[in-house]
Amino acid sequence: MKRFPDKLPKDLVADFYKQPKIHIDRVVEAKTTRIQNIQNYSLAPYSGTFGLAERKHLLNRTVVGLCKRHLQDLEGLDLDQAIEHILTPELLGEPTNNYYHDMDGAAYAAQYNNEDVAPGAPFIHRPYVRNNPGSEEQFGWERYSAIISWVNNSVYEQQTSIHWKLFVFLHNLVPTRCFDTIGHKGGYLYIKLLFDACFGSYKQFIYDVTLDPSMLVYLNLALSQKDTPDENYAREVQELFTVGKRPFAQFSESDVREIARALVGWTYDYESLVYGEGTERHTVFHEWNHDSGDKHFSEFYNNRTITGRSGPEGADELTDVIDMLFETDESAIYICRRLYQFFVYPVLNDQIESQIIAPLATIFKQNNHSMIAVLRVLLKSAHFFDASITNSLIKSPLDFNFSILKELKIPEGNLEYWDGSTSHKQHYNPGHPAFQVKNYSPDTLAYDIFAKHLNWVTHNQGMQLFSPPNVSGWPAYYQEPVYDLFWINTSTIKARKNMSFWVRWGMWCYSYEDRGVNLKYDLHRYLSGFEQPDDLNAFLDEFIERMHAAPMRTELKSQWINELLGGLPMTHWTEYVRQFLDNPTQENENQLQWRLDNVFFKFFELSEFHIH
Amino acid sequence: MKRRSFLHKISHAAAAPMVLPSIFHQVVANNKTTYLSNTQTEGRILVLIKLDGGNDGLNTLIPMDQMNNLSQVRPHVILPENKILQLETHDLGLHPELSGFKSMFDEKRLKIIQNVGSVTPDFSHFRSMDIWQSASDYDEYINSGWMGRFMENQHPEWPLSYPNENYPDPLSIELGGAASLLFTGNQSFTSYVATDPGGFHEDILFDPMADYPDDYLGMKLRYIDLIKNQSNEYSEVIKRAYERGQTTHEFGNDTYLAQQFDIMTKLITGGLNTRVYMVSIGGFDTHDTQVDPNDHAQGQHSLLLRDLNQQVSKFMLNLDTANRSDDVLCMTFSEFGRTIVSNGSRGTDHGTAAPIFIIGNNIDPEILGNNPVIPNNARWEDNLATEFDFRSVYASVIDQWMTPENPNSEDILGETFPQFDLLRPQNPFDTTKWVLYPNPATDYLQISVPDGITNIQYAIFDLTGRKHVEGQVQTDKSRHCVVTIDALPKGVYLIHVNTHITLKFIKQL
Repeated sequence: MKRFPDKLPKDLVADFYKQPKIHIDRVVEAKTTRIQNIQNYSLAPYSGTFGLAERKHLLNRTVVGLCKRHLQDLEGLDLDQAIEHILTPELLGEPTNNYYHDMDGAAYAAQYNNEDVAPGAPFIHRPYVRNNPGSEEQFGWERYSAIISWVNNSVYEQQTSIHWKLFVFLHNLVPTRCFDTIGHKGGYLYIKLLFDACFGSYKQFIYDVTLDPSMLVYLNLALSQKDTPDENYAREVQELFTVGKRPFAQFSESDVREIARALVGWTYDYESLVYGEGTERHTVFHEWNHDSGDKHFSEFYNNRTITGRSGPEGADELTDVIDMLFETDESAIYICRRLYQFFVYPVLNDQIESQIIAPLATIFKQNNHSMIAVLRVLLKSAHFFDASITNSLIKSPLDFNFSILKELKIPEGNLEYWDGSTSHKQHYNPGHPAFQVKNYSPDTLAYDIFAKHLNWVTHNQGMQLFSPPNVSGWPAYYQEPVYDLFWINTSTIKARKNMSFWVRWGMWCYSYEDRGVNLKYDLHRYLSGFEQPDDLNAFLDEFIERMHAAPMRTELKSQWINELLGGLPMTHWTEYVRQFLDNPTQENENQLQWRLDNVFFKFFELSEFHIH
Repeated sequence: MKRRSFLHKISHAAAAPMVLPSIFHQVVANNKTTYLSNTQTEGRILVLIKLDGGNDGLNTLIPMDQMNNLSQVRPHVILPENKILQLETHDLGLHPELSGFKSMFDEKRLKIIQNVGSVTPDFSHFRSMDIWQSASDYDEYINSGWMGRFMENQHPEWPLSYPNENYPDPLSIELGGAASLLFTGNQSFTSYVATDPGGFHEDILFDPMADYPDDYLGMKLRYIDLIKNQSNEYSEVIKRAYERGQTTHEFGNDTYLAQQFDIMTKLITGGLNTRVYMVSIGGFDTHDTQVDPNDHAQGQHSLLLRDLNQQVSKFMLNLDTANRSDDVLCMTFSEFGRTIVSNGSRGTDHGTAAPIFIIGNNIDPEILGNNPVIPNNARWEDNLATEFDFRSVYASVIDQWMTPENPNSEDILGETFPQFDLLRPQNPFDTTKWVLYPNPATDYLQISVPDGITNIQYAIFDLTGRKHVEGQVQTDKSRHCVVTIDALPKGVYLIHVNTHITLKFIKQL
């Protein structure tokens, strides 16, 4: 009995709350009907107003975490200029030694045998010191953390560019757990490869990533043996990285085996990678472990034969395989489909397939498999600005967290000493005993914020970078019918709530009893960035317009304003704010900040903030 | 491909809801509810144990009659024969680490079904895990999970009107990190993801609207608000149960699976009446270094099985102590087995059929299926034949364990699958097979009786020992008796039936 149409069913969101009872023919029916309020299916350039709402939408889909400075960067630009601005590549720095303070001096010296780079200096070219041969595979946590903090810090400081979002796209589409088995350098190389590939050819990227040490390990090519070739990579390179799944791509099980045969022999030199100087990836091709027989492919690949080669020429079979994969029509369609789902909206329908995806696939092929060429057309299109597409997606954990961090500039905020026994609060003062427990250099802060706090909350929210649930990436990007609803469940919603605590109480650096040190956003700087900070209504309206997906209820807003003012008239806000902005003493700050934060954090918790 | 028919049986349509106190404790039987009629009172529990990555069945349950050929075709991973735990009266053995499973087999609370899989296999993890979780055919794409559909089938109002008076506790709980396809319904997720029930609890803010806009934005706002509400309500009851819950056999904190079992055990013993749990353990994708080169009984796979063995055994011991082990059924599953042949990296690759383990005090302990036949010239592409469609297991679990009073696996799975006897045949003299309902009752009691009982004699006492009513009634064709109690005053009563059965009920007005 065939219960479902041959075509891949698309989505069930229209029936989200409509089906009273699950019945199998209702399921079939549901799979063919869904919310269809998209009006515009045109790839022609959008010609309407390009105002705040449109800039916001464009940035929501292209930067990691919208905030005021990104909007400012697009001010005064028309759509063409804005797109070109966004499609500008960024530069990538190098991770530095910000972990030295995470161990006490003796432990640090023992771990690195006093041979590590100086604090603050780049370390990636330096291997782990092999000072304990018995535990040589026990890599330090600290360099992993340093790289995580480097990536997160880079995203925090990102330009108004699509570069990091495209990085996340590639990481989700072609993921590895790059720190699992080969230490910090393997992880770094994977990250660097993805970053550099964003503005290049996707086909070249697939060639390169095939030979990336973390991928060679993650999908087993490194351990594949000639007589019993491992199929893992051979399968995923088709199913997930290039031509896609059945029923669209009809590659066969024998195609999987034949690609496994064509790629056997590739591995990497563990010793040189992990213990060598420099940043070479040390990928090698072992001729003796290559299957030199011919490889025959199915009808899906036009019954092609890849001629088997022995000796060093065996390595060229990889090129033939990649060529074969990218010669299929399905590969361009599949990548464009994934780009669309990530950058626009995950639900597809026939019109999107025929009027959006298909023409984009042509562009992709004609432009040497450039994702940027596709995005240039897609992000500028009338379809992209269709009203049903704006403010329609639940933010990924990355977008959610970075939006808060960047909007409030929490990492650039004030360190505060808080004494609950006296309700006393005071800014960082190197002489104060409370701050002498730990050295609060910028290194320390970056490490604590970006490697510890942020990495942990993203884990709890279901999206920790370099730790994808599996090689398919995160379900929110592919799992029908729920897609982005996947980010929200009874567990992750609690972890998202914790972020609003950073707004209210600051990010705790350490605490004991009811005292401690936390990092708090700089209220003076934050308020100064608003058009009319001394008008509470205008202040909140500007915030909501920028950060929320929809206006909040007027009654709720009034209620919260009342809470904030404690029943006093609005003029008190004006008075407090002017006084504080003119004269930012600790006292003036204190009396304003607790009043504001007791209510302001709720704006980050409201459901309207979770959507963009 | 035609599905092999093995033990065709129309599901237990007439089976009465079963009560489950063990024969070792109380004579006064509580009237336990079967599946999902509420989460107010104790009832049956299903625990799904997901083995991520594709467990190597041939090194988990070893067909001892095939050892010669196995050593030839999988030399890199073959287990030393003298360490394998032999199952008496069977040509089968368990991996050396599965000593607890062996004990449970001896105690007749382990059921094994050999060669379970998809009739036409798929070798991709994701596709195959999707197939297992959605219960689809190999060539169809279903985007909901079988448990999600089951929950939606039983709970048409989910999630809009939950929690409520009758269902204060979550319907199902996942102990892993993220909501899975298995619990994904057609309308929403049906599980509560409990990673840290003892942790932070403060209400999450939301602003429910009277009328959400009818577009993507409105749909998402509504969904987020719903989940916030549910999260607030559920975290309260979970926290309470977790704090009350106890373990008598400590799980420790060493592995992720141990942590999950620890939480689950505390929730159950703490009085949470959630009926379905899922725990998971990853790492079974043993393409390489599956075994230690010096001792094949050691290595990655053995560590995983050791973990599994310890936690499942301790779980049952904990529930034995808490008198709840009669109420649980545990079932393992994995997306596929592994190749017959081993590879040069001391591992095995994606394969097909593998055994499933079902654990519970009430299971029929028969081992189903034939030992797989291993060709001595097996090649890379040869795989084990599937003997039992995995959905037959689901159908049996749904119709015999979850909703025996109203078998509906066909609605959930989309077609009828042959079933096997999941539970032990009923013993007519087993005092636990008598069911009394409704309870509380107003005008009459129905008593469902075991096979072979044609009439009953009864007497009703109040708690002071005073006899109120006595009489005799005939059993109808569906093995029910009706006792009229409209004359009784409001209160708690005991009914003695055929002198050896005592059941408790509440009379209300």
